[in-house]
Amino acid sequence: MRFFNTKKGLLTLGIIAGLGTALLAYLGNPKNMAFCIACFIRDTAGAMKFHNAEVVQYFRPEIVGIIFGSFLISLFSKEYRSTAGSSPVIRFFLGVIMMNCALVFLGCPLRMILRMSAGDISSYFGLVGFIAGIATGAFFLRKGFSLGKAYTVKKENGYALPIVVVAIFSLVIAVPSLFAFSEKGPGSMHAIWIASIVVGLLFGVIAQRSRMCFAGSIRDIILLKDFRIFSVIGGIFIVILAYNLITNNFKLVAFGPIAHAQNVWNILSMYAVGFCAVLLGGCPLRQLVLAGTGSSDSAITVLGMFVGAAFAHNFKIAAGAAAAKTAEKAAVSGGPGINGQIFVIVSIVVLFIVAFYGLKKEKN
Amino acid sequence: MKELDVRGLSCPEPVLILQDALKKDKSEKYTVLASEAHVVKNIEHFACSQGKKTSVKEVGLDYEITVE
Repeated sequence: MRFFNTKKGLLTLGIIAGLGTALLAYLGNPKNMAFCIACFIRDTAGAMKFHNAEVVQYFRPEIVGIIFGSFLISLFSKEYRSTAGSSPVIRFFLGVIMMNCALVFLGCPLRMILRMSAGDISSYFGLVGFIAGIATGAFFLRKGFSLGKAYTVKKENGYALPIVVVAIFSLVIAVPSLFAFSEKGPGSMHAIWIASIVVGLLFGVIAQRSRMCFAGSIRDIILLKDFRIFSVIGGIFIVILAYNLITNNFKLVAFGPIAHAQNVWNILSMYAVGFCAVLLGGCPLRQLVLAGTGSSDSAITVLGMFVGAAFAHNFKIAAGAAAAKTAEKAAVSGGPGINGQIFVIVSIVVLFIVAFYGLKKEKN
Repeated sequence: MKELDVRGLSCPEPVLILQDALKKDKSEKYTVLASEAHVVKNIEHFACSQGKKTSVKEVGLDYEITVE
């Protein structure tokens, strides 16, 4: 197992995760949204009717797979630890912020990589903001930022989320009429559920073993000059880039499908996502994985992301996709409306407040 | 021998605490108390990159990493 802790080993895990993602795109997931944590939590919230955006309602088995996959592998490897108590309510609201800002950009950091590998220039603007946000978070970490210690709690605390998501997923299979399913739009595009759950489980296992984290990869380079986690992300990028080139899906365009080129907002929203992810100790994917390995604080963050996703659509914070002019329709510039723009600005202010709060030393 | 208790801290705080300690006194021997496996991997990797040797012992649900 030592191999998987080396740069080559981590690159290998990234390549396997990339192949899984390409397989899902091939089997029907939206092409440049084959695996997006923010979008998939949003679709799942829609399937459970927490929001009514008809084009993004589908219970994504991948999310269940990641949580349960990391849960199983952590039990198997005896790395499962049930912990809680590190500023849980603040983490919940950071989860809400991270999700809403991701939905202004129209994707989590994983989807940003997928969009980048398809030639979507707007996603590179997102990357600039994301790196700046991580650098800001890293600055506060260097100054001593902490959300406080988590403590060991009864092991069953950490069982709750993995068991509940599997139970709800079983209900989706057994009684689908309880749930909403998009008939058009991104929510209607999906691989067969068995493939989705298997790749999700595999992704969960790989992400747990590799400590895959999109914010952590850049954070570790800035703070520690450590490129190991970056190797995993590099592996995913390489595979998806190759997939896009082979399937003729690589097109250097101002914005790809389900994206927008309001680049000020792409930069600012991903700035907030990067900053928020560093304060939380991990990106949306990493939060799912940590929730599976017993962290109740990350489980709370995941619930914050779930509620945040519904909030983003109920309060019109999520951005609209841009569209080029066609014979029937005029061009649409897309991007966030005024609600989304205000939310992003307020979020950045709140993140600075939380960052300063985290500099306070804990009293023992 | 100095003890660094990094149990329950989010990434990458444990590594930054060890980094600060090594900056202050690189010749000191440290015992790092950690509660999560990924922290152990990160501490081991960082310590090795600083030319240190590590050994890990499981104590109950926690890990005790010796860095020297």
